[in-house]
Amino acid sequence: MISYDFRWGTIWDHRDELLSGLWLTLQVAALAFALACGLGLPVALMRMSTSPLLNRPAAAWIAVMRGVPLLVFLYWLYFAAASRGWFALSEFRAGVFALGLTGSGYMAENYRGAIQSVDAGQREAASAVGLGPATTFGSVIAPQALRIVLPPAINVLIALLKGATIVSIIGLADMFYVARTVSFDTFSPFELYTAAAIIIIAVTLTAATFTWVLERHLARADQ
Amino acid sequence: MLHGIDLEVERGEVVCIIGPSGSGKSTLLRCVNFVAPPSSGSVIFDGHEYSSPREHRWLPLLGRDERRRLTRLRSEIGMVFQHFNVFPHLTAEQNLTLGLRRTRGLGRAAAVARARTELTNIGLLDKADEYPARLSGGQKQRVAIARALALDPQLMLFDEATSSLDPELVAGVLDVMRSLAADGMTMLVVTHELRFAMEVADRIVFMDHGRIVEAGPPERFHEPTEPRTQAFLSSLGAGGALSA
Repeated sequence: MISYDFRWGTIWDHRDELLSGLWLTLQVAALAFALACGLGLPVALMRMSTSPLLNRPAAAWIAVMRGVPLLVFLYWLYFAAASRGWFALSEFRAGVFALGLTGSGYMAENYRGAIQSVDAGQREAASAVGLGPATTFGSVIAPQALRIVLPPAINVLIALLKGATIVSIIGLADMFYVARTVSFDTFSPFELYTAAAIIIIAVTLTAATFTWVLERHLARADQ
Repeated sequence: MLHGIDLEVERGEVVCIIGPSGSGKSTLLRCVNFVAPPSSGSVIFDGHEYSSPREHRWLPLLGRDERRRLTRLRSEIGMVFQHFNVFPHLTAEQNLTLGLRRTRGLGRAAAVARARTELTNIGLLDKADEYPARLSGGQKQRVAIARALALDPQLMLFDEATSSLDPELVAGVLDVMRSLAADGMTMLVVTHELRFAMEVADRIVFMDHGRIVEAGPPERFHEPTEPRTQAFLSSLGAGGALSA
C-alpha cells in the first residue's frame, strides 16, 4: 500500500498564487454572470413573443446554450475559432464568453418562469389603469418578477463560479491551475485541490448568504 | 361564452348585472374594456366604435396602433376586480400615482396631491405609505377603487368587487360604491349583492348561459316574468332582500 503524507504546509507556501487564482475565478464568474443576466432578458422576452420569428430563434438559443457542455464550448471559442481563423479570443475572454453564453440560456428560462408567475391579475390591472405594454412590464411586472428570479439567478451564479474553475484547461491561472502545477512540482496534489474546493465552498456560501439578505430586504413589503 | 349580447348604458346610469356563476357576467364586463377581447362584436363608447385587435402572430408590431387605441379606451374606463389586483410592490399612494403619472402624464407633485385627495375620499389617507400586504381586504379594495377614480374615468366597471371580502368588510366597499353612484358616475356592476343592486341600480340585468335573460328597473325584479329569473332569485332566498 502506498502511503501518502499530507503536507498541509504546501497550502500556506502557495497562498499568494491561490488567492490570485481565486481573484481570477471571481472575475470570470462575475463578468460571465453579468453577461448571462444581460443577454438572458432579451432572449426570454423573445421566447415569450407570439411571433415565430422571435420565439423560435430564442428557443434554439436556449437549447444550444444549455445543451452544449461547457468544456466543448470553451474549446470552440478558444481553439477551434482561432484555428479556423474566425476570431481569436484571449483565454480570459474565451472563459467569460463560454460561461456567460451558457448562463444566458439558463437565465432566459429563469426570467421567463419569473415573468409568467406574476399573477395575471396584475397585467389586467395595469392595462385597466391605461398603461401600455412597455410601462406595464417596466413598472408592474418586472419589479415583481425580479423578486421571484433572484433565488434561481443565484443558482446560476454559483454554477458559473464552479464552472469558472474549468477555465484552467485553456491555461488561465486559476486556483486549479495553480493546484495542478504545484502538484507536479511537489507530488502532493490533494492539499491544494482540497484548499481550492474549500475556498469555492466559502465563496458560494457567501453568495447564498448575500441572496438571503437581499431576499429579506425585497420581501419587506410583504410584512 | 357570450351569445348575442346587446346592452346599452346611458351616461350616469348604474346597471347591475346579476346571475349564477358561469353565466358570463364577468366575461361581459371584461369585454367592455377589452381586458378579455371578444372574438366578435364591438363596443361603442362615447360615439367611437372599438373591436378586438386583429391578431398579427408573425409581426405583432403591425397591431400596435389598434392596441394603442384600446389602451386609450381603457384609460377612460376604471375597473375594480374581485381579487383587488392592487400592485403589491407599491405603497397605497404609489398605486394611485403610477397611473396618474404614466397614463395622465401628471408631474410628481401633482400626482401625489391628487392621490392624497382620492385616499382622503375613501378614508385611507393615513395608510398612504403602507404596502398592500399591511392592508385589510376592504382597504385594498378601496385603494383599488381610488386607483381607478384618480384617473377621472367616464365609466366604472365593478367585477364582483365584494365577493372575496370578509362579510364585515363588505359594507365599507359598498358605501364607497353607493356614494359614487349618487355622484352620477356611470357604473356597470357585476354583483351578488342583490340588496345593493335593488337599492342602487337604475337597471338590473339578469344573465344566464351567456345570454341576457331579463333586464329592467329594480321594481321589475320584485315579480320577474322569466321563469329562469324567478328560479334564480328564489334560490338566493332573496324574498327578504327584495322587499327590504
